Amino acid sequence: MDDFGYINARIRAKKERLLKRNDFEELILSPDFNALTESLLKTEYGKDIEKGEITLETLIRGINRNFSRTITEIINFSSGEPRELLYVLLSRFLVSNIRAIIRGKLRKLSKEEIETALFPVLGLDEAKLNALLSKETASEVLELLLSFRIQLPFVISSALLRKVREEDIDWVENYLERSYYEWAMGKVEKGNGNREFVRYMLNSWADLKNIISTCLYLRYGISPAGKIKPLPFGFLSEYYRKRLLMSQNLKDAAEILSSTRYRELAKLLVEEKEPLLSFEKRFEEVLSLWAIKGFIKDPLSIAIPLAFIIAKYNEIVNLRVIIYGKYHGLEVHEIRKEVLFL
Amino acid sequence: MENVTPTRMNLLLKRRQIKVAESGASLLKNKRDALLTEFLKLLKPLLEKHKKLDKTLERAINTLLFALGKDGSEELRSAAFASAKELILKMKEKKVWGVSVPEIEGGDGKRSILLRGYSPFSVTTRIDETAYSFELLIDEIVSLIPMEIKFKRLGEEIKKTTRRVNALEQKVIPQLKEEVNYIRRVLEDREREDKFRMKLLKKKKERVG
Repeated sequence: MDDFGYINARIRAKKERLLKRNDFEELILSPDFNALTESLLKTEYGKDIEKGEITLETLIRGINRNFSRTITEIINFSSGEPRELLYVLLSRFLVSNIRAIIRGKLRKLSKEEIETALFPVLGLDEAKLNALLSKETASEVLELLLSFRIQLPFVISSALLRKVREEDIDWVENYLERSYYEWAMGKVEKGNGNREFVRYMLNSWADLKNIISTCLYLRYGISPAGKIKPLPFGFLSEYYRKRLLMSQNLKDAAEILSSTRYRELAKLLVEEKEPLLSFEKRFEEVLSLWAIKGFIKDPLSIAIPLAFIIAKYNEIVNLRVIIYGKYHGLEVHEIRKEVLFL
Repeated sequence: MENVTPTRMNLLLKRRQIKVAESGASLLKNKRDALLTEFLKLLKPLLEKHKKLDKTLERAINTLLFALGKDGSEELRSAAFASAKELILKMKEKKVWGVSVPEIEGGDGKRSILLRGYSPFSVTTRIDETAYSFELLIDEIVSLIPMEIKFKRLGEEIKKTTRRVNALEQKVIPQLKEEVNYIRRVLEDREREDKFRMKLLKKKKERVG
């Protein structure tokens, strides 16, 4: 049986330890980096920050370690459906890691350099990761990954191996994204409210990917038609996805999106000074705000752990923004503008 | 003056040397004026370029910081692996008043998303914006390099030319003039001595005769 009651009780305890708006304000208003470090050491993150001289790197590493530890804990005390659904969503990190390894291997980078681009979340265990990083080429990495016989969030097809050998990076990266969404959507295709919740997240992410990739082409004055194969998922129907591809500029794209559920966000594409950055930022904010409403939804559903993971992720993003901002002497208002209070 | 031989030949030589030194100083002054004009002409665009570079740098750093914050250094590094490229610059030398100044070709760092090495599906706008901002920064730096070098070399050349003019005007020419005066003095003394000696001889002859 899926013990949502137990999982959610533990998650609620963890939720209490999330930083509050006041905590963020205190960090933002720290007079300098040292004061910020002092304040941060007093929080939940203190135990994950290495002792000794504290630098920007040790602080960021500590924060990432805290996130990784928290997520691993949640996965470990979950079982059954919640564990499966969380794995579906968090596998995005694994896809990112494999993509980083492929990119690094194609550029013939050292193992140590590639390691700096790997997320410490839900990856492969250290032995497997080391074995992958020790391989000479990207195709050898994939072949070894295949031999591990573990559940992967994408399919290692012969076409993928061939394209990796041909170094067709655009094809490979598109394939990894598409394959992940096919796999993830397959996992939550049918079923109860829990799967529906995850499906909502995946569809929103797919829409964001489709819209942003199209708009990035438009931004450079390149027509996306024929160059982009949108992900066949998301809330946008095929009709709108195709119309979006035919747009010639951001204004066209905004007009098409104005007849969809993204009509409010579409305005940003014509009104803002930095349309794409504003659109993406607001999209992510809206999605995060939707997800954390899960805390007040059915206490015996995936909504609670998911809301917590989104809130926790938002917390580390906020902390990173504050830390980098303070370290490089950005103004308080500049930092506050980028911090999302959930 | 000990090593100056006071001969008529040397007097002519020294006078010729003074003329050469004076015309050299005048030429060098002309050169310095021309260099100074070039130097001042470059000053305004160079300052403007520096201002533009500062703005581009500030924007690039801001986009980088927010990309680091929002997407994490891992995602950013991964995208950097994909988009790394060599920037090939060709340098040519041009002469401006005898000063070598470089000209750079092929420093186009800006790329469209098609050439950035990653798929638009696998990056966020923030990451692409960071790549774009830094490519703009590279272009700014590359276009600034020849101006900076030209400015520096012109400055050095002006300094060198001023030193030469000063050396000619304050050392070489006065010394030559002094030498000429010395030779003239010695020659005049000799002439007077000769005249006196001749007079004495004449008187002696008259007495004997």
